[in-house]
Amino acid sequence: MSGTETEVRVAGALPPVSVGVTAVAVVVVAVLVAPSPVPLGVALTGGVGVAIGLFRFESRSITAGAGLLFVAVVLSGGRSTGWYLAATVPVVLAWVNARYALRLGRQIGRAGATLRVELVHTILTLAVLVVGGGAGYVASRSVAGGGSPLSLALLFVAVVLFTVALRRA
Amino acid sequence: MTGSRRLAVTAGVLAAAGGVALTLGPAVGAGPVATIGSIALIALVGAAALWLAVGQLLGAGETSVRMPEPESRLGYRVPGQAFAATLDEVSLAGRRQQATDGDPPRERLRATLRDLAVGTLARTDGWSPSTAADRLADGTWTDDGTAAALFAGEDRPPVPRLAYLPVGDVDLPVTRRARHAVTALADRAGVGEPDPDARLDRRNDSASGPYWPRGEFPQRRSTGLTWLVTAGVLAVSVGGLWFGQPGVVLTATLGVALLGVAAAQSPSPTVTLSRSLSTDAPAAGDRVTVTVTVHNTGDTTLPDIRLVDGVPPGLAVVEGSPRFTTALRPGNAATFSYTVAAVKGRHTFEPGLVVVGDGIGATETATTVEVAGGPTELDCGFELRDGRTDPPRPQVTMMSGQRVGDASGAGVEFDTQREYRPGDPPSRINWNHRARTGELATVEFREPRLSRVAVLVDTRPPAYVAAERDGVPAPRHGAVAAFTVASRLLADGVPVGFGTVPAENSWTPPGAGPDQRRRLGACFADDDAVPWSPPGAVEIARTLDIEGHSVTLLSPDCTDPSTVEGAYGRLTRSRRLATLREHGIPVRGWPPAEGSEGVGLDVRH
Repeated sequence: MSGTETEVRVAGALPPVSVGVTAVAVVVVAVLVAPSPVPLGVALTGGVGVAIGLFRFESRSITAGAGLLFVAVVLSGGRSTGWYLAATVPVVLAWVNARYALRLGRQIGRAGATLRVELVHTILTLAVLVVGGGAGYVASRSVAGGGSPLSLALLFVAVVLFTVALRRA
Repeated sequence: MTGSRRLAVTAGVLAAAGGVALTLGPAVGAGPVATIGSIALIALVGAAALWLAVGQLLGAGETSVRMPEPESRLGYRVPGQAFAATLDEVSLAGRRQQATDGDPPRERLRATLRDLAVGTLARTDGWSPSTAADRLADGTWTDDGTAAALFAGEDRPPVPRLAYLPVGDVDLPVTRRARHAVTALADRAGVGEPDPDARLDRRNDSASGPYWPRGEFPQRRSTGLTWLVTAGVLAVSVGGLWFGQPGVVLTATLGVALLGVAAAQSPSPTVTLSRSLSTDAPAAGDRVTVTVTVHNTGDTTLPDIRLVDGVPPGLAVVEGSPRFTTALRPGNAATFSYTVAAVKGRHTFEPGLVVVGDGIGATETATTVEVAGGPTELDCGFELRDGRTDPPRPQVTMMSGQRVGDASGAGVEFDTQREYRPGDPPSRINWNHRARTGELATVEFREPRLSRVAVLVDTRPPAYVAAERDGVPAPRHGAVAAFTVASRLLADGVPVGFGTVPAENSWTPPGAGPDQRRRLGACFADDDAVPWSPPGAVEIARTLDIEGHSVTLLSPDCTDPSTVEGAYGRLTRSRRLATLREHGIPVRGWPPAEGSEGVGLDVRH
C-alpha cells in the first residue's frame, strides 16, 4: 500500500534548521581564524569532519570536527580573552546543534515538522553559551588586574570542582 | 544533590571566592611560597582533571531512544525471493569464474527451470515430457531467442567485461536467459507479462521482532553530551594552564554553563494524548485521517517533545506523518494529523511513544502514553452489516445442521440396499426382495448427520508472504476469507469451529448461535489470533505466561558453534532464552545428544 500510493518519508533525513545553524557556525569560526593560513586549514578540516559526521550519522566525527575547530581557535592565538570566548561560542554551538540534528534525524527525520523544536533548541543553547561566556569574560576582567598566581590556581580548582559536581551520569 | 556533589560545590565556591579575594588583594598571595604552592596545586588538580577527562571520553557514547517505524507495515517475504537468491548466486559464481569443471549453481538453475518448463508446456501445449524436453533442447519452444538459448545455447557464454565492475547490476548471459525463459513461460501459461529487466525488492527482512517498544517506561537517558562536555572542560582547563593561556582556560566556562543547565533542567514527560478519526468504521481502501493532540499537563515548559503515534501494525500511512515534534508551555496543546489506508480487520492503536528532552539536548526521557480521549480502535469491514447477524432461523428438526451426510444408516430417505448381515434390525430387512428372490437384504437409508465445519487459517511463519514487501500478508487475507465462510455457515445454522494453524490459544470449538458469531468476529477481526507478524516461541511463551498459565520452556540446543554461523545461531538462541528468564519463565535447555536423560524433571506444574 504505502510506497505505491504515496511516497512516505520516514526517519533518517537531517532536519534543515539545525544543519543550517551548524553550517553557519562553522563558517563563522573559519572567518574568525581566516587571517592565519594554518588555523584556517585546521578549521576547514574540522568543518569537513562535522559535515561527514552529519551525513554519515556519526557523532564521533562531529566531536572530532568540533575539536579541530577549537584547535583552530587556539592556534590563531595571541588574542584577548574576550576573543577566545567569542570564537568558542560558535564552535560549541556547531557541535551541540550537529549532535541534536543527528538525534532528531534518527528519530523524526524530515517527515514531521521540526522547525519549532529546532529553533527553541538553538536559541536556548545560544543563550546558555552567551551567558556562560559573559560570566567567563567578567571573571577574566576581574582576574586581569591581579598579580597572584594562587588566584588563577584557585579559579582553576573552582572550574574543575564545578564541572565534577555538575556532571551527570 | 548527593553529599559528594554538595561537597564539591562547596569547595568550588570556596576556591572561587579565594581566587577572587586574592585577585582583589594580591599582596596576600604573592611570594615564592605562593608560586610554588600554586604550581603544586595546578599540577595535582590538573593531573586529576586529565584522568577524569580520559575516563569520561572512554565512557562516552551516543545513545538515543530508538523510535519505531510505523509508517509502513512490517516487511514480509515476497514470493520469488528464493529464485532471486538463486540468480544472485549464479551471478556471483559466474563473476568469480568458480568451478571451471562444472558450475553447480548454473546447472541447478537450468535444471530447476527445465523442470518448470516441461511441466508448464505439458499443460499449455499438451506436449509429453519427452517432446517438451526435445523442443527445449533444440530451442524451438519459443520465439524469444534469449529464452531459447538457456536450454539450447552454448554451455558457458562469455561474461561481459562490465559485469566485473563493482558498480552497476549487469546481468550475466545465463541469468538474462533465465529471466527471459521465465518471461516466455509466464506468457505461454497466461499468468502475466513480467518485464525481464525488472528486479524484485531484495530487502530480505522478515516480519519478526516486537513492532512496538515494550520495555520498562519511562526510560531516562543521557545523550552523552554531559560526558563529553565534562571531558572537554577538564581538558581545555588543563591545556590552557599548561600553555599559559588564561583565555583558553576561561572558555571552559561555556562548558560549565552547559553542564549547569543540564543539571538544573530535568523535564518530565507530563503529556497526555487524545486522538480522533475521520471515521472509525471505514470500508477497506478508504483513507482515514487520524488527528492527534498532545497536551502539556505539567507545570513546566517542555522545550523538546518528540513523539510517534502508535499506528496499528496492519495499517500503512499514506499521507502526512505519525511523527511530531513541538515545544509546549504548561497547559498548551498542539495537534497534528496523518492519513492511513484502511484494510480489513479491527486495528488497535498502540500507545504513543513520547520522548521529552531538555533544552540543550543533554538528557531525554522516553515513555509510552496511552491515549486519554478518542477511539483506540479502527474497525474495518469485518462485521456483516446486512442484517444477517440475527440468530439462525428455527429448524424443523432437532438436527441443527441442514447438510445431508454422505454416510448410510438409519434415516428416512432410501440410499442403497446391501446383503443382510446378522444383527441387522428386522425393520430394515427388505421383505419384498425376500419374497421375490428368497434372499435376505437390508435397506440403507441416507443418514442426516450433524455437519460440523472447522475453518482454519494458516498462520505458520512460512505463510507470511505478501505481494509487496509492505503489503498485506496472506494470513490476514485468510482471516477475511475465514470470517466470510464461517459467517455464512453460521447463518445457515451449521455449527462452525474456527482457529488457526498452529492452534496456540485461538481454537474455538464448533458451535452455533449469536455467541459463536461474536466469538468469530473477535477471533479473526482482532489481530490476536491472526497477528500481523508470525509469533515466535518467545512471544507464545510470554503470552501464555501473561494469561496466567504456568509455563516452562524446554528447548533442545540444536546449535553447533564450531562455525561462525553456528555460533551466531547459539548467541541468538541464548538471547531469546535470556529474555524469557528475565520475565520469570523457567527455561530448560539440553543438548539433544543426551536424549531424554538431559531433559530433567523440574517442570512446573
